[in-house]
Amino acid sequence: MRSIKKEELRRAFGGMGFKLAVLTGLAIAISHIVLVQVPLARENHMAKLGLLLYPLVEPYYASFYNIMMDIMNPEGYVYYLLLPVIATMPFSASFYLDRRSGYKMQICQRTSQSQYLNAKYLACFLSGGAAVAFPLLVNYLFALMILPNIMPSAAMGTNALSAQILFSNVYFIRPELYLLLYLAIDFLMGGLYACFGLFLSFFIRNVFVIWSAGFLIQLLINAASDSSQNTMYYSAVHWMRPGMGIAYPVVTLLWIVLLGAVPGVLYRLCAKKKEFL
Amino acid sequence: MYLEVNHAVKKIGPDEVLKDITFSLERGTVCSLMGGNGAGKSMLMKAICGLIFLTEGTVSVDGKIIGKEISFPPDLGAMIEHPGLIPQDTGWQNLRELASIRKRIGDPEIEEAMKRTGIYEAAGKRFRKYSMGMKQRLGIAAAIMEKPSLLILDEPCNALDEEGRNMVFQIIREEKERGALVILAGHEAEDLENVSDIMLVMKNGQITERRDLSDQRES
Repeated sequence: MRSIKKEELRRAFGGMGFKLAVLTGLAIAISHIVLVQVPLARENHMAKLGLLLYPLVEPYYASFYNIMMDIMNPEGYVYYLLLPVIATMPFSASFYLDRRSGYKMQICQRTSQSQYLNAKYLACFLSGGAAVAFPLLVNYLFALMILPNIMPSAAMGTNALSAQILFSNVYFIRPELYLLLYLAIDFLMGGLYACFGLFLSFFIRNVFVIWSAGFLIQLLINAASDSSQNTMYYSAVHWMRPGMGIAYPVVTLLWIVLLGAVPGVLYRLCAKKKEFL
Repeated sequence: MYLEVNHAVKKIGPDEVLKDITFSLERGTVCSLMGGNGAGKSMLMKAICGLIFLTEGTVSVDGKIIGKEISFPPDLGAMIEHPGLIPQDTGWQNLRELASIRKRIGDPEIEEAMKRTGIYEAAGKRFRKYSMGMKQRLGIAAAIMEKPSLLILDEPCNALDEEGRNMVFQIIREEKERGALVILAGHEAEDLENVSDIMLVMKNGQITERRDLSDQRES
């Protein structure tokens, strides 16, 4: 069992899909660095030299002007909207491709179908989560390099975090911990979207549909919930972003159950009982 | 190695693709399944490999029922329909990755299998760049490299030239000598008769005739 896990992990992290997903994520994360962080760092520098027409009340700081927290620029929104695609790109279509090429047959004469599919689930979850989290982390680390790491001020209003938001108290004491907590949540969601795509590949024989199914579901829910201030927090595009945060933990839990637990249980049942001709 | 297929029935929707198939085979035997397209040869091979579940009946290996007591024959090498390997990996990488699952063999055995099938020269080439015949040779190498006690080859001579076909028959004889139970499938009776001890003729999911070729050869 260990060797099939190792093999599937090697394929998931070493494959073209993972590279493509990370590059897509990095393209958005780097565009935020170039278009937002670098100009703000320059402005900080100019303020220090007294070259600005109006002085800055506080410098632009890293714990807010990173792609996760920054809700004033579009890059973060685009990233979280595309998150399901970035998550499914590495390995979600691999089962369909293994079936089509006949590779599944090669594996299943050396290990049982359920062991093979369990190993694939693990590899898919980890590669999907990593593909989502890595560009976010790179963006944050870059922000820490060029922007000051001062404590965020609740009085300043540059951030929209209210007391209702989960872990918002952590943000004002240990902003890096708050960001890491949400990064873990994003990793989890990336992994669940990836596994949801993998589950769909039992029934769908089209790579494009496997890659886009999670995105379309998220897009529909986002469009439906975006109409008011209260319902917008139902959309994962909003609550996955630490800049918006989780206002209703029950909604997050419901997302995790519907996206992760239900397909996960069905996946395991199919892995044991379903026949793939 | 003792293989027993007992009243095997497989239905897919309304179609009965395997109809009450019963036979048994022992180690050191070469059995060929002969029949036209859609006769049920590949489906029967998949059932033996544990890749499909039978609607009725059982397949057992050394007394253990596949799908109940074991998921698949524990010492199996098979190539069914086509050699399915990872296109972007080289031939060598493909075999190493497959060998790493059971960890029974190392590089020398992989090299030996590639040399036996005449594909060693192209070991560093990507699988997607292989010709059909080269893919077939690599598929056979993947099936034999772990020296399985049950070897299943579905139309192993597909896409092979005369020299390739002779190589396949030579490998089958060597595997039999080693004590493996070899099951082959094909269309051409003459080719199969030369290497087989038993021939099962299939039509419409049924075994219509059983020929004991080793007895015939002796007589």
